[in-house]
Amino acid sequence: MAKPDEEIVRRILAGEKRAFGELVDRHKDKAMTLALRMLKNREDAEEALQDAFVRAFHALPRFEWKASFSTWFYRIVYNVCATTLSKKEEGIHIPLDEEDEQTLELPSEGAPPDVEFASNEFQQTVMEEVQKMPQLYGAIFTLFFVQDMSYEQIVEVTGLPLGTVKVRLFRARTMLRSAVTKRLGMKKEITV
Amino acid sequence: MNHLTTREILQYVDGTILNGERTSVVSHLEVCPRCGKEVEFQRALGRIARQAALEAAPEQLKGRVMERVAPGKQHLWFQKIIDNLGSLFAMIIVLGIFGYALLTPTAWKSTDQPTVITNVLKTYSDLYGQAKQYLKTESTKLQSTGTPSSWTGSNRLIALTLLSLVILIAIDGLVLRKITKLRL
Repeated sequence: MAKPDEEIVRRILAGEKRAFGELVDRHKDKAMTLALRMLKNREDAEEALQDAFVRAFHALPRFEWKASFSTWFYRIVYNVCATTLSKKEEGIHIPLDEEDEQTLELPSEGAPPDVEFASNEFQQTVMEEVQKMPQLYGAIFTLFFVQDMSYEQIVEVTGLPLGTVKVRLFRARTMLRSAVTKRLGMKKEITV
Repeated sequence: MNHLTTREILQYVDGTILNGERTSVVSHLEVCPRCGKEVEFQRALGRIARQAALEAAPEQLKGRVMERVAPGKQHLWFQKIIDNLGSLFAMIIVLGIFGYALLTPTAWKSTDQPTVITNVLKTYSDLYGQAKQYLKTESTKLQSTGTPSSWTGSNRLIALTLLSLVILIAIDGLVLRKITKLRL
């Protein structure tokens, strides 16, 4: 059984600095996925990730044991990426109605297309559309589905209010649904 | 028939729907194929999103991070050389000048065809002369006594070496360290 992250943190704080490599191995790919969804550029994501790991190492003495290491660490990754975005003046501009919870009370748009969920075409389309998702929606979507975090954990990571997290996640999922439906629907029309 | 809202469908799929709403949603799904299809579609989207391959971090990431947070012993000698590259370079130049001056008596004599080294030495000598002149003026102002009346070759050599060191340390600190840091 794998050792919990917190046990490795204890070893590092006791002076075994090289144990930090185990944490890097465990979290690098998931953190890379989050950074890439936010920054949309591999070079920036790699730099942000390296910076986040180094910051996390130096901040370990201030680690709050009440939170899990992963939640605490992904907050650092999220903040580093958000800072990179703001430096590049690529802050996310979300139209006001996007944050409106009322829009989620509307019935879903039309029936979904008839597709074989197990088909390569469907899976490929979904993955491509996930990668295209706008930055901050992509971040919350990744935290929920890839990092398997709850709404409350996402609130801890992003510092956003619970209502905003829920709306953005729902919005991300409806965007994905629309994009996939549109692409698959269009292909069907072309083949017909 | 009123279909389920996006929120009801997503909360039902996530299993986060409130108990009070759950009964009505389940009842609706039993009679509405469109909403049932929507639920299946959203489940499939979530399943694929969860299974999607992670983006691979670069191979060198761990090494780079560990080098910054806990440099390994095996890299210490290499790191020390890199860190002190500027100082080493400065030392080699100073020793070179010093050695050249000691081993070549003619280095101080003017020749018809000056070499690069003699030019460099001449520049240093001029700078040194200016510094000396300044100090002399200042000391006269302060009415101090006992200024050196003459500067022998060895005194000049020591002074030049010290001046070279100051200049090279400045080059090391301001230029070379920045370049090596950038490369790292």
